[in-house]
Amino acid sequence: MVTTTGSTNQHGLLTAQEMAQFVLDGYIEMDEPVPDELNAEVKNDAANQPKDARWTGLDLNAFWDHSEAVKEVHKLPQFQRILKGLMGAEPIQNHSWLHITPGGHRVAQQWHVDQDRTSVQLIGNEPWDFDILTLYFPHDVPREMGPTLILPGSHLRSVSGRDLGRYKNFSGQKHLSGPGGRIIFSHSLLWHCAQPNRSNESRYMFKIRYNPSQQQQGLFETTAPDDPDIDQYFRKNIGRHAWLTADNNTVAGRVREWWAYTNRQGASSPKH
Amino acid sequence: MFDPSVSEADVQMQSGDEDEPPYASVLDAMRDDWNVLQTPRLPENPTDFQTGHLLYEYVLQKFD
Repeated sequence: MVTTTGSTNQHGLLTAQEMAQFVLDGYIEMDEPVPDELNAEVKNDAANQPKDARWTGLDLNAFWDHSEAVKEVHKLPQFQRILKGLMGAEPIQNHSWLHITPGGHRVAQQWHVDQDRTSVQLIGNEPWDFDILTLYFPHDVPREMGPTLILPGSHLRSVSGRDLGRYKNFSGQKHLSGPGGRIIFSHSLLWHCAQPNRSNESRYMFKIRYNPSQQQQGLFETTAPDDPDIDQYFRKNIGRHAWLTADNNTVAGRVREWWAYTNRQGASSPKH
Repeated sequence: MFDPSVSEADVQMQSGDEDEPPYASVLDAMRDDWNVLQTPRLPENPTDFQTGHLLYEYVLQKFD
């Protein structure tokens, strides 16, 4: 395990509005992309890494250890600002992995939640701990290259991870296609799957799983418990995720409970 | 959807290949000549956040 250090806060704290969006959707995208030069270095490292390190499956930080550029990416202030707002000052890097999907790969991955979740319950658990998966796309990923597919809002549902494979498509599913240099911060329980790569080039995506090392309370720019802007935001977006249908109101209640917990100021303390 | 008319060399319906549902409702599918089988509702009354089987499940089948 690797503890991240050397970060800066020069971009300020994660805002309450950003955190509210994360609570609702289960993911947030980095607002300032990784510079092109760094992306190019990472892509070059990915294309030239030793094949044995890529496929052994035993060394879960093989690419992280191999590429200085990828370490630089994750030290960027715009990355650290969001990471620390979600996870606290010293999140633990549980593991990382470079996902490579060769061109012409026609088969999609099944919907799943990482670390098969057969009995874990998010909802109602105290404290409201969560892990973060960061998804870094070092190059442009148009739809035909099949970037990760996610289901916004799904992190608030309890599910047996493997059973998700039975589903194929949902209203509201989101393809993470777009330009290179994007990093998505995903709640660890967000439903997702890799997509076919119909292009002729390999697709690279670098993922890190972070564990919190403290309670996830008051880590962002907290606001008053009755902040009217946040209240209105949650009210306005109660039907944001069409696929939730009849459970919208129940999920909205849990959103409020989680918000009351995470927006509490001055309660952060190291985990036992 | 599992379609036996799709050749073995082709890919069946899979995650991410349709962003919009083909029909707004099961009734709409029936209007387009799909046969419908509603599976029995097994006795279970889960809360919203417990896992379990689907309570209202339909199987749609069509022969062209």
